[in-house]
Amino acid sequence: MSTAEARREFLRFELAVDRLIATAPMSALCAYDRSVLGAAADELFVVHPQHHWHGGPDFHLFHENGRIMVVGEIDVTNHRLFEVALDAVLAENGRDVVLDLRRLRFVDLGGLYRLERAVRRHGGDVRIVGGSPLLARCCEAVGLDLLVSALDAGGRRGTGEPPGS
Amino acid sequence: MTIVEGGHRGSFEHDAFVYGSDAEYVDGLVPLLEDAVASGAPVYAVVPPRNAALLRSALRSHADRVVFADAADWYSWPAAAIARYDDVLRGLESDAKPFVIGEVDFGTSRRELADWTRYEAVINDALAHHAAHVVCSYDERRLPGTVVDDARRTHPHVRARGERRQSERYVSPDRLLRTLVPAVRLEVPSAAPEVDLDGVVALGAARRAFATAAGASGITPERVDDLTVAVNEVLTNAMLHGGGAARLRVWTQPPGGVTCVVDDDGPGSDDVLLGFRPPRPGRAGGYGLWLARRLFERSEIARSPGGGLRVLLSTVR
Repeated sequence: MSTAEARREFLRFELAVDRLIATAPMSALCAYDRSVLGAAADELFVVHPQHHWHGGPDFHLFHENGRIMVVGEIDVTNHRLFEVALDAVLAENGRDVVLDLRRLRFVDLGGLYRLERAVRRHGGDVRIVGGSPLLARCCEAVGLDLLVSALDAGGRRGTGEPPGS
Repeated sequence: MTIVEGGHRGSFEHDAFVYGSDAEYVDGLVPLLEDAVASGAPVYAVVPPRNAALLRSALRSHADRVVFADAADWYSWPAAAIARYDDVLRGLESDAKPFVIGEVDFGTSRRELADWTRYEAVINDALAHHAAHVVCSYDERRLPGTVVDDARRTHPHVRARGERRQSERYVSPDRLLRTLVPAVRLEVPSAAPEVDLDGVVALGAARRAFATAAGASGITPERVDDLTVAVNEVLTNAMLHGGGAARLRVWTQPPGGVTCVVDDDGPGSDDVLLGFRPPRPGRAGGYGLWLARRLFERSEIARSPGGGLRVLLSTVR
């Protein structure tokens, strides 16, 4: 974990494991030593669907039903971490990505801006499902056009349920 | 097609038009509207229904080329009206300069009169990036003399009795606002607040405290969500630029009333136009105070008696 590249690799590895576990009948528990990993532990932590860290970051990004779930609350206290995790998860997926925001309880304007920036960097077709009307209003109010299109592509006010489920 | 803001369509023009009778109103504005329609420009009339009827009957078939909007809905509160103009003007794709007739009601209370005079001053700056010609009508029969008088200080040009001339008494928005914003605007309610969180660092807890109080005062859940986003942005600003800590106080006045005051420990600001200028779309920052002013019926942002920045937001006008 001495270089930034190694850190990104580890994050990519964890995301690949997460995707595998999301589709296979298995579970895993990962332990991280913060005294060794430092801030990198936060990045690894947020890409797990469940956590056991009181006072840790307030959001998670993980795979479920072939989509990327964003869960929790995003504000200025975790913007940087949110963007790192987003970049990693988008890079680890192909061109077509579905972001599920059904369980995103709160996101501030800075968080939305970072989401738009990560989607632009990814360059693929990103659809957002389960986005609330509030989310759409915020994106429109501040002119985040890429997110407005991603919300439209995902059916905007839909339930966010996968087709046929 | 992309329009370069403030580009070939020309600059922002803002005239006051003072009238004292229906005939004067029609004679003064109809030729302007006809010229604008003939030039192919987008034309808007944001006027009271009674004046819309006067214009429609005088314009006849030309009226179909004018977009009419009810002034009472449009001018709900100053920042919301600025946002509407910004949205409309930003969305236009025309080579011809948009032409707008507006008419503000100005209300009756001292605060309303001052708020709308402030609005008339602010748009010279806040809408300056748009090429548009806006003519604001002032009904001499109805408005207090001081309001009509102030029109000459808030509009670079004045029209009366068929003549358009530069207003010699026009002053910059910055200067006008300094004379209009007395300290009393920043006064907090005298009652004990429902919420008082000092040195707020737990943003999530602050959001929930505000949302609970706003919900308890009878505001709809959808609007509580919107207002909570705005309050969160104000608290974020305080954390980033205001010394890292903030005090959040919330008062409720059912039904539907919520007032919130955020004080920070920063150096405050001398910018009287804070939060009035529309942010450039898609920018990383700068929309917090803008959104707060846009969503709350009443907003005051200035240096507090304690020296930091105070943001007072209320759903009560």
